[in-house]
Order: sequence, then structure tokens, then C-alpha cells
Amino acid sequence: MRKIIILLSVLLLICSCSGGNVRVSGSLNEDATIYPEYKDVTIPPNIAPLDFCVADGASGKFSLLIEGGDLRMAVRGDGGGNFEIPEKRWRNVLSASRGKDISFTICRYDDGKWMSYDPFVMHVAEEEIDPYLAYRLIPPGYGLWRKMGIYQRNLETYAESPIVENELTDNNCMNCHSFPNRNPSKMVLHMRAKNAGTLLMDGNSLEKLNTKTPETISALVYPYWHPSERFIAFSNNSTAQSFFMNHPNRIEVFDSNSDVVVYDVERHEIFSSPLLKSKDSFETFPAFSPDGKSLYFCSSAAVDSMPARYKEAHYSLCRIDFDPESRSFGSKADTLYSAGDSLSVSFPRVSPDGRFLVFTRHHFGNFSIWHKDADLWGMELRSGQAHPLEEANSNDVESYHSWSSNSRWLVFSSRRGDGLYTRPYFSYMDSSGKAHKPFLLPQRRPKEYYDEQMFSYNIPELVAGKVKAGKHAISSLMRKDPGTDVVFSGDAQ
Amino acid sequence: MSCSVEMLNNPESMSRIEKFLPGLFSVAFFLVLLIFLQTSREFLFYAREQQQLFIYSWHFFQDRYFEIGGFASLFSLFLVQFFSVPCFGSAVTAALCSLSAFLLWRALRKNEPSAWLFPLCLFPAIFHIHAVNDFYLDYSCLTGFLLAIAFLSAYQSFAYRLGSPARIISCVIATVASYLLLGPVSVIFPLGVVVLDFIGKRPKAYLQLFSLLGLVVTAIVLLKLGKIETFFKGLSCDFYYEPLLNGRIVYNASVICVPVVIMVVFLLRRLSVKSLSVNVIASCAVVLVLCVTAVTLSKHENKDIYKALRLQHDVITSDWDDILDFRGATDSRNYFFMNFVNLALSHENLLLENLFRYRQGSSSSLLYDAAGEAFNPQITILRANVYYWLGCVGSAQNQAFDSFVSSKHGNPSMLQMLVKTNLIFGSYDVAEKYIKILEKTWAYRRWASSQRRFLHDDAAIDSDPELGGKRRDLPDGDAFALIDGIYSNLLRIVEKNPGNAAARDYAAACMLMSRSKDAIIDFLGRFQVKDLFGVVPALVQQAVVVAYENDLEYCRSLGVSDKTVGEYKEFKNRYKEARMRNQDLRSALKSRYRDTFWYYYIFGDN
Repeated sequence: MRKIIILLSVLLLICSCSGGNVRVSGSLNEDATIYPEYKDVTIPPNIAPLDFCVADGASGKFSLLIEGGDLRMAVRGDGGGNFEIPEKRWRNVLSASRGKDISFTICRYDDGKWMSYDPFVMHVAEEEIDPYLAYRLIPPGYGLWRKMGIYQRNLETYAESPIVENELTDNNCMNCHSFPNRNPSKMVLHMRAKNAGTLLMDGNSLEKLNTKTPETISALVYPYWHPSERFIAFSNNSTAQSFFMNHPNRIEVFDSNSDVVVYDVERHEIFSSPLLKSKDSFETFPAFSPDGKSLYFCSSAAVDSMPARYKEAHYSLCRIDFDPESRSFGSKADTLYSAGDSLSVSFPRVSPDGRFLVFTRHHFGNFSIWHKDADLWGMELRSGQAHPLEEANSNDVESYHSWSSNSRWLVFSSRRGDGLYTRPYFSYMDSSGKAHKPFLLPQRRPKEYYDEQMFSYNIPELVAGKVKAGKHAISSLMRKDPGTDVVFSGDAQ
Repeated sequence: MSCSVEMLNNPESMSRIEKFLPGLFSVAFFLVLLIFLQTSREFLFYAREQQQLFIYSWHFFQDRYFEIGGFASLFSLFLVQFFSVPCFGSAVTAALCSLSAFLLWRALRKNEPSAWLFPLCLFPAIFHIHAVNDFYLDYSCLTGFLLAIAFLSAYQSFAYRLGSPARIISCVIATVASYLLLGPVSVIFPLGVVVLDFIGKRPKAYLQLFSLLGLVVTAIVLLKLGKIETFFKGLSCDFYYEPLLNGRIVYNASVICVPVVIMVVFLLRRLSVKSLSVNVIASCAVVLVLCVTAVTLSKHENKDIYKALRLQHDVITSDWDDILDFRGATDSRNYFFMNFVNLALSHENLLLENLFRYRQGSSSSLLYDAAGEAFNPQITILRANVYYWLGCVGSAQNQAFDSFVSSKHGNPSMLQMLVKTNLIFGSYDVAEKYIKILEKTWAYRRWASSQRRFLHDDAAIDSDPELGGKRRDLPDGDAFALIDGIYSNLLRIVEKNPGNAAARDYAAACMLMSRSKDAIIDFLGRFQVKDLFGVVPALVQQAVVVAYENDLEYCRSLGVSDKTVGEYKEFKNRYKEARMRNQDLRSALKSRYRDTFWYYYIFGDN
């Protein structure tokens, strides 16, 4: 008797997991509208199930048939048309479909029969994506916030955990988390307002830095690690913001001054070059090349009377040599992409294989996340040819982006969902530097999740593993430690 | 009378009475508290309802439940969503407090105390009601308090049947569970158990100290995991307090009071008194001390915050008459309160008619703009309402967003404003996102669904009196908001939409309050005041005369009446006369001219 009950329970469980017996009787000959839009996207072979829902307002019973390689699975939809794909079986389908397609067929139960919508596919790439994504969750507002934090999400599952939350640091502002070569054991981030300072994490060792010096215009701002992990390039910015009376961009954030400097982690010193710290220009958004011999940055002729002349700041993409041994810079800066008087470049990021550079292009200024016209552009570094990443771009904002370790995945923030709340999208970058149709960060019950999510995903950074620093250790240090003063050692040649 | 005394002296009757006494005391306490809260704290409950959104969705439950004190928080959020219903907040709060006293008594009943001592059990509730009367203390502190006492009462009802190991293990488990479910206020549970076991001389009572140890270890672990900020917060009511502020230490008195009450009840139980009169006198004495405590505590409450909450409720319910009848606002010299009064005057279309009949200071009387308090949600909510009313839609959206995100659990009226402002701007996807959230609430779902008709329908918005009117106010071009102050924004709006009476009147009021001839002349140069107002308001006429007093014909051409010209001449004569007589000019002119622009122009206030 006991065995029969167990057997029946197992059968019941299998039936409930598999979505039951779906025998398709015919085709509806129509496309199903789904949310998120996952049709024809290219996905990594180690991604969590891409749950979605039928979003065309149709009601009733739905089932989803998934076929990949030799494997098939059926998933029964809930009353809201949500499909929850079981993680383990999804992984099996993914591994059987590496380099191939997975087919999805949504079926609707009509008049006692299962009728299918037109099937669609997702392309599974050969190359994996780094397993973690680090980001800041912040309300997309102007001046006030209550809760924000820097979080990490395991991309192979749905597990999200905080790296640090501002509830432990008097609800202050925290930003600009950055990792060297996607290494989770080293990280830098800033805290502003109360408990202000820069946190430098190296394994279990944590250090608080006071980075404003008399010689620099502000504390350190936008970071980028040198591949040797000894240096971090930062910008110094005098930033302010004004909001519009009536404009789709809502707000304009602008610099009235900015420079680029490099911080020496071992010596607690910052240094720069006259070419990165010119009074006649604004330099910002530094990024090292993967070989560490070049520093890319954005530069605009200085504009006074901000914010009145905010449209006159146009940032070009520049590059300067850097010698980490002697801590010196080249004697000239090259302009790789000239903004002229109608464009602007921000966030240059070179792929780890050194072949491509992706930047955000918009019409003026540097704070692209508030610019509806901001798009991602790619540049083949050998030829210097730039092109829009058409498949990745949308009619709304595309802005911050970061590369995977194998240079095949690009995560970027976009406001295409509702025009305000930034979400992370992942795009496959093929060997010719072309972006493939991106997919939204998967969530369980994604429609409900993103509809109710009142925070933006800010600065999405791919990371090779889980960041293990404790929230308590970080917050205690930032609250109690007076911090080490960083000194400016002068302009290197 | 003699019959009833006899009845009371009868042991059987006495026992029956004593059986019902705790219930009677609880009901009496509930009624007194209900009346007190409804008459003196009504607006606090409306304000609490505005501090949160209770969303009927799985993600919402999941997010809230898995916080420390998540169960108490969800319970509190659930109850508070109904506080917009008149009397409901007072009734629920009074019921929770009365129930907590009754459950505390139930926890003590194994010690067979005299029912006449029941009023002692009201002390923790009295201290707790004082704490939750502070707007900045989360209501979950009260629900957690009640549930912690319920834990104690439930535990006492079965624990005596258990052997020592089971009793102690179950208490440690319940301590940790209650901490996770209710938050630090649950410290009542192990404290109560320890005291009850000690005074009840339970076997191996000292082992119950493990439950306190369990509590401390739990707090330390959670601290190390970064779930709580400090050890003190993890074990005090400060946990429930607004993060950037510090709760008063007395807010922990209710927690400390529970073991104290248990001990006092136990000690008094030993004084076995058979006389009814002594029992009644003892009970009355306790009630008296209770009343004195309550009155003393109530003196420490911040009356200005309560005043602000009342005014905010009036704005939400559009009860402009109440604001204008509220002496606490109209007699105040506080700019924040003056802003409410002027907003109410504008809504009643009386701003320019009655501006100086109410107290006015500088232009901050119209819009409080203290930089240091720019991040106070009370101020951002007020500003959002003023800006929206005036048609400064971008600024209203900015302030509404800030107000919403700076509130721990959101703010429904600010989310409604975000729906409206996004509809006005044509940001339909964001508006729909907010509509969907409001549709999952109890109180706002109908309103939210009613806004769906505007989504992606510009014509519907344009024809709507409110949204269409505000859309017509939107200035062309890409000007920044408030970069030169509110006045310049108002001028732009009036230029774009002269039909916006609110912006027109506020702009004129700003011009009057600037006390500047240049500003008056500039205003008259920008607008044909006769066209703008139809009939030029008396105060504007008075300003015109001040600006062009040497050219009264020109004044008349701008709509100034002969009456105003005559009054101005008279005012000047009186002014000169008072000066010649060396009289105090303010007092000489105040009675007759306090309501005029001329008086304000000279003295800067009224």
C-alpha cells in the first residue's frame, strides 16, 4: 500500500511538472505575443530558464512545448499565461542544444483541443556567459531615495543577494562598483553623503579611502581597473543636474569640470597627465585596454555657463598610451572617434580580446542614461571603423555596458521597457563584432516582477563568480573607519 | 443599593464579577482609547495610510515576509491600508492595545492574580500607544507588540504541561521564530517567559535564560549577516523607527514594562485582600496612575507634526474649507503652514481677493523653499501638490517621485500624481506601470482602472478638464524647471496658457510679495492685466497704483478703479499724518489697511 501511494505521488508529480499530456490538434496560424520578447534571441548555454508569459490578453489554459536537441519538455501555464520552466530540465535542454536552436511552441486549449501558435526559436550559443551580474538597484529619480544597494545575481539561477545595502549605512548613496577583469574578489565602490568614501576590496581585506585631494576637483568618480589590478583609472567630476519643465529626457546631468586620474592601489597615490587634466577640456569615462598599455577616455572642449550651454558639450573618444611600469602616459592623445558638434561618446569599453570597443553614442553631454537618443556603437579597433549595434539598440535609451570574459556577451542597460526603469539586456557579440538580438534578464513570473519593480538596474557588470564580502564588514568599515587619505603625486609624463 | 452591596459581598457573586472584570476593563479601555484616538489622533491614521501601499501580489508578499519582522510588517500593512476609512484606524489601534492587555492578563492567569489588578496590564499598552502616536514609528511595532504578547499567552497556555527540556527547547525555538517574524519587539516573549518561570518557581527555571541567550545570539548572527544595522537597533524599538532619525528611548518602555507588570502582579497577589472596597480602591489607584502616566506622556508629543498631517489630509480630500477654518494654520507664522493656507485660497479662487487677510511673510508663504529641508518628505509632498495645482507638471512629477521613493512603503497619493503627470507628458508605458500597481491595491484600484481610458489616447487627455488643462500648460522648448525660481516658471505657464487661473494668481501673488516696483512694472509689461484678469483684482490695482502713482490716468487705463485711486490717496494721507504725529506707523495703519498691498509693501508682513 505504502509503495502504491509513493508511486502514485511520483506519477502525479511528473504529470504536474511536465504540463500533462498535450496532444496538439491543430494550428491557430498566428503568432503569440510574449513577454519578455524572447523570440529569436541568442542565449548562453548556462543561463537560467527564460520564463515568459503570453501577453496578448488571451485567456484560458496554455501549455508550452520546448524542444532542444533530442529532448522535449512540456510546461503547463498558470491562469495568467505564465510558464515556469523547471530549472533542471531546462539545463538539460540547454546543454543538448549548444550551438543549435531551441524551439518553443505555445498551445492554447480551445473547445476541448490543444491548438498551437506558430513556434519560435531561441539560438543557443556555444560560449557561456560569466555566471554573475552585479548591479545597483536605485529608484530612477532626481534627488531623494530611501533604499538602494549593490546586488549580485546568479545568471544560472534566479538567486539574487546583496553585496551591500544602504540600510546599514544611514541610507546613503552608493555607486560605481567595478571589478578588475570580472574578478569577484576585488572590487571598488563609492559611498556619498553620510559615511562617504571609496571602498577597496581585495579578498577579505577591506580598505576605506578618502579620495578628495586639494589638487583634484572632486573625489574619485567613474572607475576602470588596470588589468594588472594595481591601478584604477578614475574620473574627477563636478556634476550637477537640472530637470526640464517639459522634455522626454526629464532631466539633464552635466559636468562643469572633469579630469581623468589614475590611482595606485599599492602607494595610495593618484597621478595624472596634463593631457588628462586640461583646463580647456572635460575628460571623463576612462577605460584601460586589455593589455594595459592604452587608456581610453572621453573628452570635450570645456563649456562654461552650465547648465545654460549644456548642449554644447560634445565628448569625443580618445586614447593615450600608458606605461604601468613607469606610471607614465604618452605625450599625445589620439582622437579615435570625433564627436564634432553634433555627437557625444560615453562609456568606452574594450572587449577582453582587444578587438572591439563598444561605446554609447548620443547627441551631447555625457550622462547618456537620461538621453532617449543614446545608442550602443561598436568599433573595430584595428580599422577604427565604428558602426551602430543595430540589433541591440531600440528607440529608447541604451547606455552602460560591460563585456563577458570571453568577449562574446555584452550586457547593457536599456529603458526600452517602459521608458523610465532601466533593465539589463544581454546581447551575443559574434566574431565580426555584430550584436545579436538581446534578451532581458530572466525572472520568475517576469511580467509581474518587472511591472512591480520600482528600481532601475544601474551599472550592470558581469562577474566571473560570487562576491563574498560581507555586508556587515563593509558597512562597519564605512561607518566607523576614518579612512586613508589618498595623495596626489603629480602629473606623470 | 444595599442589595447590590450585599451581592458584591457574596463570595460567589464576587467570583463571577471577577471572572468578567478583565473583559470589562478591556472593553472600557478600548472605548476610552477609541474616543481619545478618534478625537485627538484621527489624522495620524490617515497619514499612516498614506505612508504605504499594500499590493495584492505574490512578489509583494514575498519581499515583505522575508524581512526581519516580516510577519508583523505584513499584518501592519494589511491593517493600515484600511485606515482611510474614518474611525477605522482609531478602532483597530484601540482594539490591538486592549487585546494586548487582555492577552497579557491571560499569560498571567496561571499565577491566579486578583482580577482587580487587571489595570496593571494596561501599562505596557499605554506606553506603546504613546510610541505609535509618533508618526515616524512604523505601525508594525504595534502589531509586533500584540503578536509577541499573543506568543507569550499561547506559550503559557501549554508550556506548564511540558517537561523542562521540552519547555525550554520550545521556548528557545519560539524566541528565534518570534524574532524573525515580529522583529525586536518580540523580546517581550522570552523576557516574559523567564520572569514567569522564575516567579512561578518552575523546575529548572534558570534554564529559560537560554531563550534570552538564543535571542542575543540571533541578533548577533543577523548583525554579522548584515541584516540589522546595530546591536542596539536589533534589540530595541529603534528598529521600527525612521532610519535617519532617532526614536526616543521611552518608546522601549512598553517592552520593559511587561516583565515589570508581571512581577508587580505577582507581588501584589501575595497580599491576599478579601475586602471588596480595598480591591476597588487598589484598582482605582492603578487606573489613576495610568491616567496620570497617559497625560504626562501625551505632553511630549509634537503638535506641529500632527497639524501638518491634518493639513495634508485636507489636501488629499480637497477639504479647503477646513484648512481656512483651521486656526492652527491660519494664525501660524510658519511658512510651511502658510503654504497650505494659500493653496486652499487658490483652490477656492480667493487667493488674490483674500491674500493679505491671512498672515503672509515673504514669498516663502506661497512656496516654502528652505534648502536645508529640501529632502523632507512632508515638504516634498506639499510642493508636489502646489506645483501640480499650478501646472508646473515637471516639478510636480519630480517632487512626487521623490516623495514616493523616500517613503518606506510608498505613498498612494503621490503614485496617483505620477500616473497623472506621466499621462500629461504622454509617457503612457510608465503611467500604465503605476496604474497596474494601484490596481492591485484595495483603496485605489477603481481610480486606477478609471485612468486606463487615457492610455495612448491623446484626444481623451486633451478633452479631460484636469489632464488636458495641465497639458496645455506645458511650455514649449526645453527650459529647465525652477532654475530661476518658481516665479519665472509661473510666468512661462501663464504666457502659454493664460486660462490657468491658479498659475496666474500665484504669479500675481509672487509679484506682490516681491515688494518690488520693478517686478510690478515687469508683470504689467508682460501681461495686459485687464485681459488677463477680466476685472483686475483689488490687490493688483493697488500694486499698479504704487508702480505708477504719478500717472493715475495710466493706472486707470490698466483697469484701476476710481475707488482704488481714492483709497490710495487716503492711505497716503493717513500715512503722512501718522508720521507727522510720530505715531507707530504699523499700529496706526494696521486696523484699516492690514489687508492691503500698500501695508504689506511698506512693512513686509501683515
